[in-house]
Amino acid sequence: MKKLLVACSSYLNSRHRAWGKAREKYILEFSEYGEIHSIWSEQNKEACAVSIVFLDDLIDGQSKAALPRSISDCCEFLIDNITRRCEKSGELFIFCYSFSITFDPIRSAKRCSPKLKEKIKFTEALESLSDRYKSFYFLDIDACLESLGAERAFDSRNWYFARTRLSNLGMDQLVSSVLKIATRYQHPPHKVLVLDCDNTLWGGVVGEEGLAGIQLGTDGLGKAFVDFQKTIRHLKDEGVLLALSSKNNIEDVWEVFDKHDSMHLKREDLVAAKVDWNEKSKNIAAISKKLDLNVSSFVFWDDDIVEREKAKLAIPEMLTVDVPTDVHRWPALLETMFEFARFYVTDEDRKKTAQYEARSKFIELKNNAADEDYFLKSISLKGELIGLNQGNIARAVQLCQKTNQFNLTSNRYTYEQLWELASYDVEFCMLARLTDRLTDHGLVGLVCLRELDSETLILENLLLSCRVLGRKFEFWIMDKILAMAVRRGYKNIYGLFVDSGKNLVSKSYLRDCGFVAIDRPAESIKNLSIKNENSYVFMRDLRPLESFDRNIYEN
Amino acid sequence: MKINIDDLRKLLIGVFQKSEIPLDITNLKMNDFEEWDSLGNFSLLLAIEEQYNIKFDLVEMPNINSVTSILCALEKRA
Repeated sequence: MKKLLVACSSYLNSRHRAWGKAREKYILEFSEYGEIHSIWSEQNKEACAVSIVFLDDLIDGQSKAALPRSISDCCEFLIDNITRRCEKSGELFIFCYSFSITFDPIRSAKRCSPKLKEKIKFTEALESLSDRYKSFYFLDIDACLESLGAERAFDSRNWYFARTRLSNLGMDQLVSSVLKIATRYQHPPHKVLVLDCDNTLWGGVVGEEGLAGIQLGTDGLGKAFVDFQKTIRHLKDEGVLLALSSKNNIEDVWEVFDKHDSMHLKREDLVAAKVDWNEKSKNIAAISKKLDLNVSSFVFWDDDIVEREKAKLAIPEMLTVDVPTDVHRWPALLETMFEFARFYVTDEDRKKTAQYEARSKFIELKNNAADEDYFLKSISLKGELIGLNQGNIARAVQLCQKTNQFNLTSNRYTYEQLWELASYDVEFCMLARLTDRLTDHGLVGLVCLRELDSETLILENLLLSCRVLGRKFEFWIMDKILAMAVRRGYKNIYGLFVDSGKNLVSKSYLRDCGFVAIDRPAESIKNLSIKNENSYVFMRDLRPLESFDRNIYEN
Repeated sequence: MKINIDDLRKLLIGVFQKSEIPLDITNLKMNDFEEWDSLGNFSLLLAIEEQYNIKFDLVEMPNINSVTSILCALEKRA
């Protein structure tokens, strides 16, 4: 387990119940009262860190850290030190801050409060730091506690009695928000939202009430369903895949989709639709197979409690949402669902639905084709290797985090580590882009190389998004790596493989590329390979690949 | 407010999870065991407030640090 250091500008109740969950994942350590500087000290650079700063503590001189006085001094002091921490540590760092701005109608009717002005400036500075340092995240405590209200979340009595600013409730909310960030940092969001139709996308039963009878439109409950659909579309635009699992006659459902004026969801927003009278668990399993995505990344939304309970029993790995009976609460509930929340939306995310559609089409075509290579040649495959740059590094980090199956070493490179590889040599850290007749798959692979000596390269990692497997793209990439190595005058290449338990798909890859396993690798190699019992070292010379038909890919 | 001493004992068990709480808690007070230090006392008072939906005030809080004083403070409330 990793160490998580927590420091606060005043007193923080380390025995509060909310920390219980954090202890399941981290070894928690609390700094002494007010010692926020522990976060940026040299000795804690290996630890993940959370710092909780109430600006008033610094202004009052409550904190033991240096004692700046004015608000803008405090902000400058914090930004400097946050930068210091980020410069030396690539570990997770969540910075929480509160300006506790009191509102007074008279004082703020003609003038924006100086504190508010400082806060806006400060938040902008934090945002640009978070762009620069990928493991840095920030949390606005005041906004985080807003739903509770300042009266309930803060407690001035606790402040005077125990030098702690928050109430028990406030602590619950703050700590659980911090843990959400820490969890999303480690785990990607869910991928698929499976929806029911009647009384979920619209009010009423279309099979009974007909197109004109269902509730969907501008008034009352009908408006709530419209808003729910808008939220669903918004998630789709962020990269969530949508599927239907509904017990209806399919013609009725498509009639609503195609003909109802207030229908915000369109057929083309869906990657799969199973509309029949089969058990939903069976249909969801079929959707999972069609998309080649595990049900553990599925979320199921159905108004019918019986269907939900059945789904929970049949597919416990899937998240079945306990949907409230009040439809008007759905839009907000779905919008703020942790399972779908992502730090930011990349261009890749926006293209998700189209990519998965093309993929299902691809699988279908391929299954019907007699000769695989002949088929692949017919779909105009085109690959491209692109050096790491400011514009694509976010995608590279995301690929490292998300890719489990075709990932030779499963090394979760950080932003800084990737930059280091790339700054050594642009051809040592490259993203792979794939297009074909059906779609532009985007940036789907990453190659990480390192030089061992003037004759030898090491393939430190190679990963490929599993949705493009079956196109021999992994061999095209190896072909390019070998050609580059020859061009640069190397003689050999080593390859590393670490069995993560999840990357079985890539297990035979190096062998298939003509690499040979080395039982006793030299020390210099062993030091590089991740020290792990399940790691293996392979090697080959730079002769071209034998079993790969280069003509499958267009030049 | 009349409160049941057994309920209070359950609350102590909940707050001081690492400690063995004796069956008879009547004379128990702060610093009788490691976990009930001043920090523990603060957590205990907040837990009591939540449980009974009351709020202690700043003046009385420093003196509420034993089972007797807790019961006394609760009884004062309507």
